[in-house]
Amino acid sequence: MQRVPYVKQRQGGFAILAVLFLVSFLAIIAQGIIYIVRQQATSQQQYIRHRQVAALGIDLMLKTLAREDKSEVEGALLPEISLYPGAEKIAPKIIVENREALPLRSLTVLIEYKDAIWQMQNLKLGPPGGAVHLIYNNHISSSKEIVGQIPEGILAAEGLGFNILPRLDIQGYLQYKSMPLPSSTAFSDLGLVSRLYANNSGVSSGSYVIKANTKICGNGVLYHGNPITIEEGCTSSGKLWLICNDKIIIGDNVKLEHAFIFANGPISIGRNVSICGIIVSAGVIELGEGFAMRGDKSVLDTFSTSCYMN
Amino acid sequence: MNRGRGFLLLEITVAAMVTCLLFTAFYQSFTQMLFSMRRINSDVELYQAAQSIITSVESEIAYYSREVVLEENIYGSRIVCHNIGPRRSVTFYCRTVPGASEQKGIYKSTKIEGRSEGINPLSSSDISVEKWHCTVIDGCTLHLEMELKVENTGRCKTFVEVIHLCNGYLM
Repeated sequence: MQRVPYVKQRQGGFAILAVLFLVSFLAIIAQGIIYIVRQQATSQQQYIRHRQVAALGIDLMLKTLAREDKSEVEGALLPEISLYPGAEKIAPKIIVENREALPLRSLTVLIEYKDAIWQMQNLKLGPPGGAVHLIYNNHISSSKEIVGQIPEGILAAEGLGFNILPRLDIQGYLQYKSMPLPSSTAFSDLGLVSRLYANNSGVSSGSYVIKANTKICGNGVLYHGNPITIEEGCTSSGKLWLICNDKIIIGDNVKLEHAFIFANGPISIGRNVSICGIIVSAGVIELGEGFAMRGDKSVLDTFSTSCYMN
Repeated sequence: MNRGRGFLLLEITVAAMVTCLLFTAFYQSFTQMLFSMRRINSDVELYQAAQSIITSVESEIAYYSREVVLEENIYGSRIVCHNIGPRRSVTFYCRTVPGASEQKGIYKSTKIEGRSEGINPLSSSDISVEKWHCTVIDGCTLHLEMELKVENTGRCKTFVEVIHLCNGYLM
């Protein structure tokens, strides 16, 4: 008898419940769709904005480099641009840094946008002291002495003293390096990719050794604070700058096609070595038997790195 | 009490009927919703696939290539990128997916000194590439057009990108 009022109370409740179930079900599906659409829209917007920033940055870099061929470029803060969608404002910057002591020109295109920075860099390097430094009038120069047979036709100068040699801007190399010195795997997999490679001196970095019979492909500037050793049988075909704040040891049968070698210490060259380029040393240069050399001052031309992302 | 029990049975019947009526009334919207959901999912899949392909192709061409060569075959363009590091070259091309007669995919083949270092598919197994074509705009800009289709739903979209070379030129 007590259940009648209870049942009466629930009259109509079932219909409302059914409607509620259905509405809830449809609402969940609608929410799911809205969520997916919003997620996708956000990700697509980010992607479109990133593409716009990258296209703008690359274009700015290429145009600035093209202009540089005609006149000197200067740093600039460009007018604000609105990205689509979202109307986010960005102000691209062109940063030009000159470091006379190295010498180096660094060109950076920098675009800061929502939660990210797009940055591309290009370096132009000259040999220590600049290409017009009088030490580069010779093919082999030593502030002390040159021991061994100097090949015919090679302009050599020895006993120049320390004061005449240009100073190495060690901090500059380390500050602007884009990569550490390449490993043997990097040499075999890729080669040099037109960058400034540098390692600091110190106990941890030790001597930098390019293993025997390595084929050094591509262009690169390699700076090391500690000794550099190129083991026997190594060959290089691209433009290679070896700059060392210590001694350089070149093994037997090494062939360097387009090399600029600068050492703040002695340079020891093994037997049957062939070098085409310029050699400068603040110490003694020892030439091994059968040393062949061709003086090539074009190796002193400005080294332009590839444009790379930072 | 009897009246009360009768009401209970009636209530259930009415509730079931109302549910059926409402479901029938909303059936069109419900199927429409499911259809929209499937379409949105397909679009999401297409955009993700396109982004993944374009990101991979663009980073290789724009930043790491010193020379890009375009070749044509029956499936579309073959983009051969010679890296700044002279040992490495990467080729992007379209071909039939192994085991599928109709479906085509985008592949990235890496070679070091002419020796193959592996071939990676850039598109997933659900996506078929209907068109893959590259044209030269100028010496350092190329135009990439691709049409992707979701195999299950047949949803199809065309994507167009313009890619600039930072460190090289087009052949």
